[in-house]
Amino acid sequence: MRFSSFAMISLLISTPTIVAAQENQPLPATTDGVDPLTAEEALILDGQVYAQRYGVSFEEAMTRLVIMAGTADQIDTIERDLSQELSGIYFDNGPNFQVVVRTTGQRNRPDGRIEARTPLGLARIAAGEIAQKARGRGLQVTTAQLELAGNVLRRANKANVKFTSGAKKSKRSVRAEIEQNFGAVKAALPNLQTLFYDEVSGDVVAEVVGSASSVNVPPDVARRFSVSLQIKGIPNPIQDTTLRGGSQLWYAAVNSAQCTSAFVGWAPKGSASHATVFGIFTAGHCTSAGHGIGYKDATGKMFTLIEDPGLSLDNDSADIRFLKAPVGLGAAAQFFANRNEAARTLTGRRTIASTTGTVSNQGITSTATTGTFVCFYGRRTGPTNGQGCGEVTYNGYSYAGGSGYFVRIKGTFACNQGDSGAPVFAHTTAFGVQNGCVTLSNSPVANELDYTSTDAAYAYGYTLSYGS
Amino acid sequence: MRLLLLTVTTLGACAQVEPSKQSAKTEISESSQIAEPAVLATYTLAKALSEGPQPSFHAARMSGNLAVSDGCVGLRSDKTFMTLAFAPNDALWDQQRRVLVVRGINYALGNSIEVGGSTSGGPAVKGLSIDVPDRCRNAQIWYVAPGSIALLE
Repeated sequence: MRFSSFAMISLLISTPTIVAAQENQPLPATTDGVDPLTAEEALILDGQVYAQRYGVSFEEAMTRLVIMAGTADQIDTIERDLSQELSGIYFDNGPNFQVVVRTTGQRNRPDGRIEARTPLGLARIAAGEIAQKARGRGLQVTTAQLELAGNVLRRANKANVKFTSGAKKSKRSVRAEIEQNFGAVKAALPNLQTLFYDEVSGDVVAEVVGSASSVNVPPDVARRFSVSLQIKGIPNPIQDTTLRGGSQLWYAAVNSAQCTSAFVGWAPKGSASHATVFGIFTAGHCTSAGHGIGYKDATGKMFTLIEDPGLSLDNDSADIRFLKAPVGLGAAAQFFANRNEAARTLTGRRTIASTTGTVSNQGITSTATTGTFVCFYGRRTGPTNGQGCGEVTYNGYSYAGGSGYFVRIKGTFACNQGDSGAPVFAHTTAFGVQNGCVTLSNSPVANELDYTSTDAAYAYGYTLSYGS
Repeated sequence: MRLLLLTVTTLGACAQVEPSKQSAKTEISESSQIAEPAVLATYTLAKALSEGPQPSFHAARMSGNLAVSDGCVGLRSDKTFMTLAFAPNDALWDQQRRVLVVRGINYALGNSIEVGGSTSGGPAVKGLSIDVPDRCRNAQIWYVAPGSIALLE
């Protein structure tokens, strides 16, 4: 059987904060007329992946995804109601799909049901019309698939909730033990990477670099936990597989540099399974050109990122896209902001409305004559010249006229091929994604740069991930 | 040595055709003696907004070997060929010497190069010049930002 645990409670050694929460902001109104991915299209794309991975029918895969995406409130209620008794809760993705709830004590509870509640407004468009739009976007979906996806979205999708009693310890108590004894475990196991509570088995799991069989756990360390301590060997340090902004993106198939990543963030809830919703923003024009878009970890292993058609804008008003992280690639709410500098933790963002500038020919009012000072760090010119900085001069414009998501900064900086997609920021605050420059040059010159405000991502339901 | 490579596949009806799906593609190697005339694609520039910022060029990166395919000057990366399009007066193709000349620097066929720009070019790019033949338009286009070509070897 295969499981999707709701929460792996983990502590990480000298590693950045792993993305753990979704940041939510009110969404600004869409102004560029670009259609986002429909619910049916997203369900089909994710359903195909799920069906292949778990060996179930396409319809069953879509049904399960709808249940997993649409029952978070009911799962939360179960967690809250059981409180101290809860030992673990997870989706069993095996042949008998269900939610399994493990509890302490001997009280037997009857099976329950959860039901996905599809928000109003989904699946309201005729499948034929959607199919035509999908083909226009280059998506390989059929009318039959869209009709099936629409049916799945419209109907009531229910899953069994199975309660099993007799668990040794509650999740809460074991988590407290992990927090209390983390230092001792790290001292005993120098190659320790993570220490977490496995909600499926009820054990504490220590992941160490190397072979698990070669690890000798001192008895006094194992006795620190009231449940079993499992040792799991992993080939490489976990911090090596962490997606960050300000990093090099690659043409995966040909191993050549492409663009720069901007910031780590999240796709809208419900558009993908829990395991794959986080990813990275970059410029919309940073396309794969048939080679796939890759991200390398510190060992040089290439991960091919998953292109998300839900946010892929390269038009007069915005130039931004989102790339989902594949299985095995983690993420940190961090970005590289300068050469020879450790990554910074992203703590917030500035909207167009709060970015001052000399405004012209746009729908957003601002009277400041001296603009906000912001910087960017591209992987082409940054390692040689350091970050480039300048002042905002135009704010919230579209090249078609009127308002859009572009912002212009002016200063003296280098900017050349491979810098596209770079993070634009001030200190630890995100402003946007670098798009291009008036002058491409490897050395600093009087220059101007466009970036797309993060407002564009939020308009489509995508959010940045913040750390602390 | 002569090398003449012919590949015949089905030509799709879409406007954007994958390079690998080009019909009757003829590729001539660097050492070819055939010296078929080749076309260097150019693009036109967009005008700035009346009171807005000067349009910018995209700064994505693409690398590969300078090549001629189907009579079009472009870039070959793995098995993919892209037509390179340059800004007006930024580059020329020297048919006699079979070299690309950009701001006085020669790039020979087969040279490993990198270029900046993107497949859409950015706000500064209006579109391909009207004299670019269809056979060059059928491949994916890479709009080269001015001043963004470099030799990798």
